[in-house]
Amino acid sequence: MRALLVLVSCLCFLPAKYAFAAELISDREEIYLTELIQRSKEKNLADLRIWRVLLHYRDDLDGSATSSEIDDREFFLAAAGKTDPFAELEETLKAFFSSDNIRADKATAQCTFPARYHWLNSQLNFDSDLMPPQQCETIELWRERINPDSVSLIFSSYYFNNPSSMFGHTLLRFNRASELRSDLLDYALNYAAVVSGDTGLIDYIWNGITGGFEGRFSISPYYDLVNQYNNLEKRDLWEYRLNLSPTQIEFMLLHVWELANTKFNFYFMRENCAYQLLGLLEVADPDLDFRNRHSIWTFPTETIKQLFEHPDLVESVTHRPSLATQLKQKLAYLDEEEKLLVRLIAENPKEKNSSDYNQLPPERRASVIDASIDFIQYKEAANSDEHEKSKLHNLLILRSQLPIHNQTVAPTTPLPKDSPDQGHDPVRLEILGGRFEIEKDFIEPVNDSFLEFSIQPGYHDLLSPEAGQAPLSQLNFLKLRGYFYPETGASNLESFTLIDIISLQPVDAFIKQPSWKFKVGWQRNRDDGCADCTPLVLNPGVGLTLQSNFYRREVYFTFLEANLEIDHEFDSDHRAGIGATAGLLFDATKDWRIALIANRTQYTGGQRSYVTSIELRQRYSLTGSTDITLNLKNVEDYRESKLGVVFYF
Amino acid sequence: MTDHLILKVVLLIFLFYGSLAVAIALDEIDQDLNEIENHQNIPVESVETECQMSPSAINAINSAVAESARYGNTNTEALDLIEQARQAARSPECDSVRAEILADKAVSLFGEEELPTDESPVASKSSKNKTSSTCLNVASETLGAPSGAGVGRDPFTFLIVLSTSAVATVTSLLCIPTAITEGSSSGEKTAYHKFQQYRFVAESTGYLVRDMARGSGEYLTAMAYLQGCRTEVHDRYTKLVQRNFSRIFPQSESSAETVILNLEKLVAQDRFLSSECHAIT
Repeated sequence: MRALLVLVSCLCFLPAKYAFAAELISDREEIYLTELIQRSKEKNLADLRIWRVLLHYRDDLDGSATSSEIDDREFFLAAAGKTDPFAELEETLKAFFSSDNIRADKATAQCTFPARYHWLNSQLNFDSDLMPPQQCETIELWRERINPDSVSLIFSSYYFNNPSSMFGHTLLRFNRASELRSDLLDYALNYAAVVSGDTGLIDYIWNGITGGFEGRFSISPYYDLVNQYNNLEKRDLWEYRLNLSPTQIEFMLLHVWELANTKFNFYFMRENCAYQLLGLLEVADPDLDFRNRHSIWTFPTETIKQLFEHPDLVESVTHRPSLATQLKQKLAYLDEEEKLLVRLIAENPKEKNSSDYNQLPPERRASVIDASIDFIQYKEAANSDEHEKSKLHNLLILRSQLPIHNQTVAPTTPLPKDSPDQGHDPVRLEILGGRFEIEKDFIEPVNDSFLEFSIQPGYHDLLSPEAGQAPLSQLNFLKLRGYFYPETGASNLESFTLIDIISLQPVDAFIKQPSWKFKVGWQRNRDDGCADCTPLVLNPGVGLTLQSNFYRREVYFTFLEANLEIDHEFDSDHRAGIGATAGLLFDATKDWRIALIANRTQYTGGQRSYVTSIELRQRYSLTGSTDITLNLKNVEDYRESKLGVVFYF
Repeated sequence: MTDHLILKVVLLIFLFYGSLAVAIALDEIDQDLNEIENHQNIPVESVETECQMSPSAINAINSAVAESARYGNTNTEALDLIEQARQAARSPECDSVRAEILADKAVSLFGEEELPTDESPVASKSSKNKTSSTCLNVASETLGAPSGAGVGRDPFTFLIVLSTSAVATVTSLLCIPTAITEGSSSGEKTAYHKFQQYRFVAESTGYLVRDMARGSGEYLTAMAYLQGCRTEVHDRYTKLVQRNFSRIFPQSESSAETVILNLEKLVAQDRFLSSECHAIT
């Protein structure tokens, strides 16, 4: 088996036989080829959009040059195919005459590029005597097994434990046309980077940003992906069934086949899963022009929103709750005593003998055991521990003796209001006006007014509207903040954040996950550590979050964190210390959120000092794309207050 | 000065609120702990009031009772054994071990007894057509799902759809048992169905058995389809599976092959489902 894999892998790297087709065709075929090429020129086929989407061509910014986004030389039959659409078309026509196999696919050109063949045939109406159509049995069987009658674009929600999944993930599902069908048994198309197991974190991030990973399409049963994303990673899935015609789906499927062994350079930010799937939708319907909008980055949620820009393209939306969401749903159905039983029975199945449990009607007992089973599966304890496996098995047997009681049926759960297509736009512009004051003993107070301008390409702030976003999270990157002082005409860079992540995970009796934060960037110093310098800051931390619902929702969080600041203004060019943060997030109304955050950091490495800060931030959401914000901040002797507007676009 | 005062007031409010929250949380935890403690002191009811019978013994008796009911409570020998098991459990010695042994013996009597159903040709064929799944693990590993969003493990997963196709490399890759393919179209289809079943069960065991025990759920519905059962008969299928859960999934680590064979046997023995579920050939 391993040898076979190696052999197939090696075959993938054999160079294409570019010239063979022309050499093997007869004089009669040569004349017909010339005619086809002439007709394709007359029809200007190489410049038509459909040819360009099939070959993934894209013009550069000024439109002076064209290049394909496919980085696999074997995908092109012409030597200059990557940059020359017409040369590729000409060479493709030549290759279609041949019955020799090409590439590692061990198939003819007609069977390797069925979408190209299908489209060119529809445009040029090939003479079957001069260019006999070839039987592609493998493709036929493959299509028969997938047998789609519709397509769904699936969004897998944010996953903060993997840098490539923080913005979510998309994939395509081919919904089978069959009387005996289940979503789980459909096939799904996934685009992913091929990453070896020994890739380190730094290499992972670097390669992800610079296109160092190889991207590949793969097809697997949908249950594989549900098991992975929905159950193991506990991510909600959103399924957008698309209104595409059978012909469009068929053509897209043929193109998917063409991409089977094709290599791409995978980029986290732009040429990622969401981008490549948009390309496939453009193949299905060339009138859809999705990708042009994504010049620098492609957020999966933005691609979902794009679907809704085309009337009737989205036929229906379903939500498939994750294992964690299902557990929460089941617990919400139970009263406090029953919830306690869930924990007790999950810990020790003997608790089923307790009078509290046995007094329950059979349906309630079934609900308690259902939640206990979900709780054990949520903890993944039974995956490795023999005792837990045995415990789970006992619970399953117990459950099988109770009535069928269908409490939660994924994925027909009522659609939550905060689907990803409802989220705010990613780019954020803030314009604020404020005043600062520095008051020190024995020194005349300094104060001034300022205007703050801040822009960030993405993505979400702790105070931003939560609909369609990962709740209680912050994911800011490449955020640039500048201050302008009208009275003096001076301006300065306040901060430049490379990445700033906060993930608050409220702990309760069932779900116990640590909260964490990570920040790296440059930030102007406001304490006496260094006078107005802008050190490079590295600030990771772990913490605990609790949540209550006394009023609406109150979230209390604490972090224990490390802080490293590097700047030549410091003694020893740096200072390093340990700090603690405590904070409160309070939802005053649906649109009004308040955050109070206090921090104390003791720097013991490099330049010794301590810094205490407290910040009160408020955000009121005027519309889905506009907020008002009011912030008060105190860092040692420095105080500032500012009021402004936030725009999302 | 005024600013300092405001700051201090804000800080005090925050500290007060935070302390209140912590106090409430601690109080809740304390209450929970008390309740846990109280629960642990509650004596078990009825049969188990005089002793702590092992869960496995209780399960064994419950299973025996359920089996007996399924066969119409007509097997007097089994009924006797169940009664003896109950008495052992109730005895002053609280003999859980003996109770379990007796209950298991009662269950084993039903294992020798055929379910009250006609042996249909479909069922007969099914029982003879046992296939080896030794290649399944290899296939599962080779075709493993991507790990993490946007990060795949094996580009060859693209070819999974073909499974038993004529492409030699693919067939080898998936390691489909060749004995049932025979190269014929119907043989290939059968092999494909078998492969789908094995792979589904092997990759989703935890979620499938959960649905089986509940008698409902998407994984169970998918399994019914894989066994060729139309939607109209799913109610009967799911009830049958739930009732016989302990026979289908007898141990905590039953293999995919065991689960499938037990399911096939169960469906084949059901007069109605054996003629309605056509994938079992």
